[in-house]
Amino acid sequence: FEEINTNPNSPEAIGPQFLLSNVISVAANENTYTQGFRLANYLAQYAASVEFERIDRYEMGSNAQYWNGIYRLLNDIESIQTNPATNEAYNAVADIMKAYLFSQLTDMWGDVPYSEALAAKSGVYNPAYDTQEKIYLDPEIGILALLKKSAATLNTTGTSIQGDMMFNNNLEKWRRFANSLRVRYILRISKRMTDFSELQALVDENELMLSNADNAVVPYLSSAPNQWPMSQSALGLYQEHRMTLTVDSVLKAWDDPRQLVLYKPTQKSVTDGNPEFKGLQNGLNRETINGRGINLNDISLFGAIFRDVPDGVDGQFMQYSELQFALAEAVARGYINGDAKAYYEKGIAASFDYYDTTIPAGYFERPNVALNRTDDLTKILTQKWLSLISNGHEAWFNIRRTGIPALTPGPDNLNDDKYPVRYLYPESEQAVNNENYQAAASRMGGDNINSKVWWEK
Amino acid sequence: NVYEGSIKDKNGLPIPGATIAETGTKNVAISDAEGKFRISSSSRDLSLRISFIGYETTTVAIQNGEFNGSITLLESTENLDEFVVTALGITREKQSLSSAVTTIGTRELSDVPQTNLINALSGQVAGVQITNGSSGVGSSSRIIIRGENSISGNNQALVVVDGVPISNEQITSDLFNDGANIQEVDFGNGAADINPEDIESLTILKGPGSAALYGARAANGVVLITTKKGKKKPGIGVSTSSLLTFDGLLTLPDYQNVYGGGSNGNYSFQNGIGAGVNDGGISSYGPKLDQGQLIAQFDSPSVDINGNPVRGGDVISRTNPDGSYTPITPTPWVSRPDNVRDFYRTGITSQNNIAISSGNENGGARLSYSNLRNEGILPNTDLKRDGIALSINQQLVEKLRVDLFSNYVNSRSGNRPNLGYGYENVQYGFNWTGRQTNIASLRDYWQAGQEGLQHYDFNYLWLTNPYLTLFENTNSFNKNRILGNLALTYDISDKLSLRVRSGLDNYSDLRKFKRAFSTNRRIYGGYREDQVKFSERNSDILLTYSDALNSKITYSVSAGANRLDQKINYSYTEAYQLALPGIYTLENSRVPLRGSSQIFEKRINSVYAFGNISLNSSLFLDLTLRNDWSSTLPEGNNSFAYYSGGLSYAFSDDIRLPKPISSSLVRFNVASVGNDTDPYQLNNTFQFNQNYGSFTRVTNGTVLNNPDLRPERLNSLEAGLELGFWKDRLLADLSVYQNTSINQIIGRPISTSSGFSNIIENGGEVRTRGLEASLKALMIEKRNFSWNLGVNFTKYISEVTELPEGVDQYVTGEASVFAGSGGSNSVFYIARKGGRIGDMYGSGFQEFEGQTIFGANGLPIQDGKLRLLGNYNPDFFMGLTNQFRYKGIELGFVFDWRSGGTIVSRTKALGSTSGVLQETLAGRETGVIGEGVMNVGTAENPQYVTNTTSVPASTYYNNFYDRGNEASALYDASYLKLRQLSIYYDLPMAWVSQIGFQKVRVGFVGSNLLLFTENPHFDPELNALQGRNITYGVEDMSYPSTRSFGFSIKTEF
Repeated sequence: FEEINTNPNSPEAIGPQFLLSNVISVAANENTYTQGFRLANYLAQYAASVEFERIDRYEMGSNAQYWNGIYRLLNDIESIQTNPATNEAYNAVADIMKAYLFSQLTDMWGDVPYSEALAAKSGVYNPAYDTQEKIYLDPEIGILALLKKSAATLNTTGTSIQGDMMFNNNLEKWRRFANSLRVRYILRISKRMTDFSELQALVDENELMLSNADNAVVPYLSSAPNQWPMSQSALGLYQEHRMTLTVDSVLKAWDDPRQLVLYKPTQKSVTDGNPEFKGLQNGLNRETINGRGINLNDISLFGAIFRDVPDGVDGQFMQYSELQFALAEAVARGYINGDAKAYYEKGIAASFDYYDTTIPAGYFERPNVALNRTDDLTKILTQKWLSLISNGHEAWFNIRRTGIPALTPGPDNLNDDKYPVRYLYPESEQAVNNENYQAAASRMGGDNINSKVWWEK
Repeated sequence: NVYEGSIKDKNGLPIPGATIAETGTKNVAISDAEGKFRISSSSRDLSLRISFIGYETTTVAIQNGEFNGSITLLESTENLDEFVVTALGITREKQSLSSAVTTIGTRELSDVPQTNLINALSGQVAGVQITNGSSGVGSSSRIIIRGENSISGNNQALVVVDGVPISNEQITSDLFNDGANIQEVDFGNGAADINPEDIESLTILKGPGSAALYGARAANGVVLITTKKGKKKPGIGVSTSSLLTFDGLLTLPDYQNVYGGGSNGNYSFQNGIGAGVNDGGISSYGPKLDQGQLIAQFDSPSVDINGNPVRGGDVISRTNPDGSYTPITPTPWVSRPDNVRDFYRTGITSQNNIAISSGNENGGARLSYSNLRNEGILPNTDLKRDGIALSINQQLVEKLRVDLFSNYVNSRSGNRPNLGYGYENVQYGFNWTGRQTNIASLRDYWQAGQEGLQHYDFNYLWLTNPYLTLFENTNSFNKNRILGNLALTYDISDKLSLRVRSGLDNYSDLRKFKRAFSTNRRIYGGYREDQVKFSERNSDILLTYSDALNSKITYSVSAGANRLDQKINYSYTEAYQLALPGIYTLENSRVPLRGSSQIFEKRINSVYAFGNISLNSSLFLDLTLRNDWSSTLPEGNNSFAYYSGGLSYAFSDDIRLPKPISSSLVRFNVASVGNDTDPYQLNNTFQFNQNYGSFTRVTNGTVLNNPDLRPERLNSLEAGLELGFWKDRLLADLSVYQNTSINQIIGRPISTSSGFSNIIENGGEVRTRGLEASLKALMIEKRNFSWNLGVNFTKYISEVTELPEGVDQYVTGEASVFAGSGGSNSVFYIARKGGRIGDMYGSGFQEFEGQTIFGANGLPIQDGKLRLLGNYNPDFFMGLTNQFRYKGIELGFVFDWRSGGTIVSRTKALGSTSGVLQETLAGRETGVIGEGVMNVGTAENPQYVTNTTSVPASTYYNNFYDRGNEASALYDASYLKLRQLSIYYDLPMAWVSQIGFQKVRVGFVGSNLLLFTENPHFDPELNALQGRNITYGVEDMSYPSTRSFGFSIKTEF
C-alpha cells in the first residue's frame, strides 16, 4: 500500500539549488513583466492605456496573484533554509531574497503577515498582520536586520551556492546587492528615520554595487518559455501600452536619446516620412480619446526591446543607476556626506549604458539636467524615475515617498482625482483570514487604495 | 383437467418463458419457444396468473373448464419495477428493498435517444439532477443524486455496468485559460461511451444505504446499468434502430441591431490595429446602423499595391513600402441581425444500431454494433463513435454458468470547441464583434497572398478569425476503450452458489491541439499532444446461501471480497512555437519542447457480507457489512467499515386498509459509509517548474498534505412510503432522507501567507435533508387509448453544520471571472456554519440602505467587500412525463422544471461592457442616469440624495458591468423545458410481416424543444468548465444550447 501511495511524479526531497533557481527567476519575471510592465508602468506614467487597462484609471484591484506568488516563493525560501543540504551561503542568499520579497509585500499593501507567516506546517493557518514599522525595523527579523546579517555572513563564509542564474553563484555580488538594497530601504523609510549613520557607514565601507556589471538582473532568453512575455502576447495587449505625455515631455525637455530605445516613433509619422514621438495623456477612457479626436496611429508605442525580440530586456531587481541616484538624493537631503553631482552623473551614465545608448556631448550641462542646488531633488528623482521603467513598482514607491515627479491623475480616473497609494488586500483574505484582515485594515485606516502606509505618512 | 394455451404479445408474436401459475396452488407452467403451455389443475373454476418480465401481469379466469387458450400480454414498463437489479448484480423484488430505487426501462432510454446516456435521465427521476456541458454533442454531463454531500468532492454518482464499476470521470487536459495558453476543452465524460441501445434497464440507487456494497465511491448514489442479453427465442433475432436528428439553436444572446462597432459613434476600417477610426477597438458603440451611411469595412473592396482587387482586411497586400495603405471603397453600414445565428450551422446526428441475438434453454448471446456520427452546430466540429458489444450468458455445464459482457468503443473527433473566456471560444469573440459585421465574409480566412501565414479579420489586436479558430486551430481526440466483465457462477448445491467475477475498464485517449501561424497570442502557432491512459480492474468473489426456514420465512446470506486497482497516466508534450507553418509535429518545433507526465495509482481491498430475511413475503430485513482498506490513507488509519440495515414492510397484507388502496409498503434504512481520498495526499512533494534555460526549477506545491488523515464517513437515514391505489393504477412513492457527512477530507483554503493555499484535513460536517416524491398514474386505459402520467418532485437543502476547529467560514472553491492583471474578480463558494452549500460570494458596489452609491462622476462606486450573491442550488425541481397510446400510435413527452438558484453570467457582463446586447441601447442618445444615490455631503457626514448625474451610455455600461462587479451580472437560474417529445407508430403486423419483419416502429423525436427562463441570453442549465473542473453557478461564455428533432426507425426481424 505504502508503495502504491508514494507519489512517483515528484520528489519529497530536493537540493536547495533547484529551489533557489525558481525563487530568483520567478521573482525577476513577476517584478518586471506582470508587476512592472503590465501594472506599475501605468501608475508611474510610463505607459497609458487606450481602452482596457483600467489600472491607468486607478481601478486597482487587489493584485492577489502577486501576493499569493510572493508567499509561495517565500515558502520555497523556507524550504531552502530548512533543507539538510543548506549552508551559510544559501541561508544568506535566501535571506536577501526574503528581505526583498517582504519589502514588496509591505510597500504594496502596508501591514502584512510577517512574523507569523509561512508557518502552515506548524499549524498557523491564519497569521496575524505585522506593522510595516516592525517589518522594516525589527532588530532580529526586520528587513534591514536580515540584509545586514546576510551581507556580513557572505563576507566571511567559506561555503558556496549553485543554481544562481543572476550572479552566477558569485557571493561578492550578492553581498553588494544586499548592501545596495539596504540603501534602497533606508531611503524608503527615511521620513521615519532621524539617524542615518548606517547609510553613511554603507557608503564608507564601499561594499555596494560598483557598476552595471553588478546589476541584479536576470536576462530573458531567446527561447520559450523563458522569453519576455510581451514578445509573445496578443498584439492588442502590446498596443495597450502607449508612451505617455508625462514621459514624452520629460524626454523632450532633456532631448534624451534613450527615447529611441524605450519607445517607437508614431506609425503615422513614420508613414509620413517624418518620424517623431508622441505621448498620450494617462487615464483617458475610449470615449474621451475618440471625443478629443486623438489618432492612436499617431501615438508612440513601447520600443522594439519590449516587443520585437524575445530577449530584449532583463528581469530586474535593482540596477547600479538606482543606487547612484539614491546616494545623490541622500547627499542632497543631507543624510550623508558626499558629492551629489558625482553620484547623479554616474547614475545617468549607468542608465544610458544599460540601454546601450551614448550620452550626447554636453548632456550634463543642459539646463534641464545640470544640478544647480535649486531643484536638484527634482532633477535627481526625475532621472531616477526614468531609470526605473519596468522595474516592478519601484518608481511608484519613490513617487509616493517623494512626490517627484509630480503626476496628475488622468481625467477619467475612478479615484476622485487622488493618486492611489496601495493595493487592496486579496479578497481571499476576507474569506479565510478575516479577523486578522479586519484588524490590519482598521489599523491602516481602511482597506482602500488611498490609505497611506507607515513610511509614506 | 389439462388446459392448453399460447401466450402472445399484442403483435401476435409468441412470448416464450412466461410463467403461468394457478392462483392458490402450486401448479406452475412455463411457456415454450412458441409461447405454448400446458397446465393441469384439479379444478374447473380457477384463475391463472401469467407473468413475464417486461409485460403486465394478467390474470385469466376459467369457469366451468372453459378456456379459449389465447392470452395476450401487454408490454409494460411498470413491471420492471417489481424486480430490480441491485447491488452486485443481484435481482431482487422491489418491495424487499429498504432504500429508494428507480428503474428506467428501455423505452425511456431509447424513445428519444440521447448521445450521452446520462442525459436520458433528465426530468425522469426524483432526486436526480443532470447538468450539461456547453459544447454541444460530446459535452460532459454531470449526475448528482440527492444533492452534494461533500464540501469539495466531486459528488457524482458511480456508474456500474452489470455489477462492475466503470469510469465516468472526466479526465481533462491540463489547460488553463491564463491568457497565453490553449483554452479549456471538454472531451466528455466516461459514461457517454455506453450505447443506450445496449441497455436493458437502468436503475438508480439513491441512498448510500443501497450502495454500501459498492464501496466508497457509491456514497453519492449509483447508476446501475444492466445490459441487454440474448433472450430465449427461436432462431436468430435481429433488431435495428436508426435515428437522424437535426440540431438548431435553442438560445442565443439577445443582440442589439441599432449601433455598429466603434466608439462615440465613429468607426472606419484601415488596418484593424488602430490606423483607421477606432478600428483597434472592438466594442459596439459606433455609428448608427441602417442610416444609408457608407463606411470602409474589413470586407469592403480595396486593391493591393499592384492594383489587383482585394478586401480591406487584406492589410499586408495593401501596405505600401512607406507604410501607408491603398484606399478602401466604403460599403453600406447596415445591421446584420442574424450574423451570429448564421455562423452556426444545423447540427446533424445519426445513430444507428444493429443487434443480433439468439438464445435457448442454456442461455443466450447478443452482439451489437452501434455508431454515432455528429456534425456539431459549430462549423468543423464533430463527434464520431463506434461501439461493438458482445454479451454471452450460458449454462456451460450443469451448475456452472458464465456471463460475459464486453464492449469496445472508439470515439473520436477532428475538432472539439474551446471553452472559456478568450477568443479561442468563438462565442466570446462574437461579444466583441460589431453588430454590422458580415461574419460570413470571414470564411475565406487567409489574407490575400498570405495563405498559411496570416489570417484575415476585422481586428488584428485581440481576436482571431472565428473560421480560422475552428478550421485550423483544432482540438482532436481519439479514444479507444475496452470495458467488460466476466463472471462464473457455480451452484455448489441448490442452496449454495459461488460467483467469481472480474471487470475491467481500460482506455487510451490521444488528444492533439493544433494552432496555426498568426493566431493571436500564438504568432508562430503551436502543436501539443496529450495522452490519457486509464485502467481500472475490479475482481470479486461472492458466496451465497439461500434457504427457507419454513413456509413463511426465507433467508439468504452472502459473503465476498473485492479488489480495486486503478491507474491513471496523463502526459503532454508541446511544441510551443512551430518552425514551419502548417506542419503539426513535435519535431517541427521552433523552441525546446515542454511537457509533463504524471501517474496516479490506487488500490482498495474489501470484504463484505450481507443477508436478508423475508417473512411471509411481506416483511423484509436487510443487513450489510463491509470493510475496506485503501492505499490512499495512512497505515493504521486506512481501514474503514460500512454498515447498513433496512426494513421494509408491505403492510396491506396484514392490515385492513381503505378499499382504494391496493398495495402498500413502508421502508426504513440506516447506513454508515466510509470513504478514502485521492492518491498522494499524505506527504508533500516538490513540483517541477519549466526549466529556465539550463536551470532546473523546483517549487513547493500550494497544498499542504496531511499524514494524519482519517477516513471520511457518511451517515444516512431514510424512510419511504409507497402506496398503490385502484389496483395500482395510481402509484405514489415518497422518500425523506437525511445524509450527514462527517470527517470530510477537504482541501481547506487557508491564508496564502501561511505558505500554502490549502491544507488537506478532516473536518466539517454537511447535513443534507431532502424529500422526493413521485406519482405514476394510468389515467386512462381503454382498448385503443391509454394515458400514463408521471410526476416527480425533488427538494433538498445541504447545510454546513460544523466546520473545522477554529474556522468560522470555509471557502470551498473559486470561479475566476477574468480581469486584467491587478484585478481579483472571483466568485467564492463559501460555506459558513448554518449556511447552504453552494452559497456564492463576490464583490459589487457600495450601498446605502440597499441603494447603489454613485460618485460625482455619475458612476457606481466599487466595493471590494465580499457579499452573498446567491446560491447555485435550485429550491426544487420537478419532472413531468406523459405517455399516450392510441391504437398503434404512441406520444410521449417530458417537461423539466427547475426553480430557484442564481447564476453569475460572464456573457451578460462582457456583452454589456462591449455594447452588443439589447439592453445596452437604453440611453445611447441621452446618456444614462444610474439608479441609486449620490453623496452631496462630506465623506465624514454623508448626505445621500437620488443620483442625477448623467453619463454617456458606453461609459456607464463599461463601469456598471465591469467584470469585477459580480453583483451586476446575476440571473435567476429557474427554467421550464420541454425536454423530450416522441411520437411513435407501430406499423400494422399485416404490412410488416409481408416484408419479412416482425416489428417496425417509426417515430418523430425531439429534445429541448422549448425553454422558458427569465434570462434572454443563454441556457441557465449549462455549466462552465474552468481549469480542470466543472464550475457551478457561473456561466462562462457558454455556447448556445440546441434544440433537436428528428426521425427514428426501429425494426425487428
